[in-house]
Amino acid sequence: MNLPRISALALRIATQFRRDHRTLAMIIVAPMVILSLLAYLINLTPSSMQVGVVVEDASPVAQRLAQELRALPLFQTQTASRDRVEDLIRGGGLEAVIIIPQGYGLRSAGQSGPDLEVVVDGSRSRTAPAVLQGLARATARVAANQVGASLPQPQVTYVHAGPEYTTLDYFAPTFIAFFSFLFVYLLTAIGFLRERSQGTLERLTASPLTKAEMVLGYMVGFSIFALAQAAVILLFTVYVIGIHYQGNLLIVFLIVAVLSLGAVNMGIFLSTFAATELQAVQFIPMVITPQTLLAGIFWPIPDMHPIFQWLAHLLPLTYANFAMQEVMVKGKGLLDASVQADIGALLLFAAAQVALASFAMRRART
Amino acid sequence: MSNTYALQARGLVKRFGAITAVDNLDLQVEPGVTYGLLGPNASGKTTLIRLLMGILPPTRGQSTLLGRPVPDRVLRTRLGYMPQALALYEDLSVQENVSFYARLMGNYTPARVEEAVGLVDLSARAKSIVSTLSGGFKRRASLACALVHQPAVLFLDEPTVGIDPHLRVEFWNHFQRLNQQGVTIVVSTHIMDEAERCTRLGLLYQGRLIAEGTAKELRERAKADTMEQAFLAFSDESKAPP
Repeated sequence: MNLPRISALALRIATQFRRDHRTLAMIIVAPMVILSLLAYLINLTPSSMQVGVVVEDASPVAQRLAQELRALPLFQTQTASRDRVEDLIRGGGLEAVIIIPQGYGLRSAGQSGPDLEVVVDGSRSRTAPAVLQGLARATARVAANQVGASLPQPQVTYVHAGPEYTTLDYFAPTFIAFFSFLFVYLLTAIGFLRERSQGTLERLTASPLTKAEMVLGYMVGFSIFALAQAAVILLFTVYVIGIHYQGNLLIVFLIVAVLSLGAVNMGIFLSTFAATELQAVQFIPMVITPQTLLAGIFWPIPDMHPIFQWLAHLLPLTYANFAMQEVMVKGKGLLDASVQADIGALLLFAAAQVALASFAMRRART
Repeated sequence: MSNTYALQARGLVKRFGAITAVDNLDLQVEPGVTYGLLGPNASGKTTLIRLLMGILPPTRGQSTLLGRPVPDRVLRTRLGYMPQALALYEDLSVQENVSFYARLMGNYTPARVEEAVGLVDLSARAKSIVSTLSGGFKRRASLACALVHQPAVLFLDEPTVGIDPHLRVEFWNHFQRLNQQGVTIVVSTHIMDEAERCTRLGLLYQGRLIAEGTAKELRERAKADTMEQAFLAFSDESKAPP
């Protein structure tokens, strides 16, 4: 292993990259824009819904329920009549109508009576769950009022994170890792492809540079920017977007560096299957997108089919996601066994990619 | 194999599937000469150069370079290579390209880089980004990258393709100066006129070395006035049934 050769390669890559202002801007600005949009959209306050209430029962329970429904902050209620329900929804005036039928009050007296009826638009995914949630809240208030009690207000104690944590605080750590993974893969794949197409790989092959030195040179060259990118994104998410986090940020960098090692080699490996830069980009929907779906970022892995669970545990982004959550949300350190296991899995992935990249380099040479 | 040759190959064969690119080839090149590999396109010139340098493993046969068996990674610091493609980083300057290869070869000093850039008459454009240069200037830069570490053996794969006659003459004069300094040059070409400038020639046809000698010897043996006629005569002879 010859350090001057590795540093020569890393220095060359860094010089080329530094000169490519557009790419440089892309790897810094694009994640910032995406994270800012995410922060805005995740914290979006849902707009109120136009809900019609038909009260056919004169009992105090029915009147009280109508009153609770009108008091819900998400509902903009208006009184309606049963014969106009469908017209009002089809005309776009209402998203849903709740009907309190004649005799509903008998149910509260322990007798049999008709149940509530709900008519929803159905063309929007949010309507039915939101109406049923609001209805459950209103009926619970009525029931509590009947027995002279109030709704329970449990005292919640957080072992990790806290009540101030929003959905973004759980997403942001994984996105920091994801952006590094994506850009390091993309830049290495295209960089190595160019190395082949412009003939410089042949000249490198004729030099004393070994395959291991080439892999390391590429890794160091691109990792400098991957870490710089991670630093900028991290500072941006912490200080500009204002996410909450715990744990040591140096461990976050370590996780990104190990993930980048795998991404560099994956880029070299996959680039040998691409003849053009466009083809290297086309690997993204095949290799990167499934990882974002299966890595447990949006949907919990235990809820998935066993085959997808098994697949998820083969993907580096899954372990990066676990590790980032452990460190940034739970505040765990390097001495924690789960963090060690996640970093170990990332190292294993990197080792497998180094083997594949070495094989690919031999294939590219002959 | 003898150590008196800068380069020696015995029984070299390279097959790519059903295609035999180099077919049972023997070769000896003395030190300090320019050895020309002359042949039409797809005659195996580039494959032979890659085999001789050790960047492509042979299917069969063996070769030595400067007395050492090929491949030898240490030996590569003493070899220079100018591939047929420009093999330059277009977004780097001439100086940065040359410096990079000097560092890879473990032979970097700013003075050496300056000297290599000067040798190919590119000092005035040393700081220019390669993508802004003309084809001829890029060829010069490519040659500087191959020369910067002062190699003992220089492999040039069609170095004068696509350059104007003035630069071609300049390049050949420069190769002669390198020979005088003791550098052995193996150069491939399909331009018959250039063959006259080589110390010795190997005529390649369909992966086989069909004739070898000085340009004068080859013309006389083929009873031809030009190298082109000589080449055609030897290739016809090689096609004839024994």
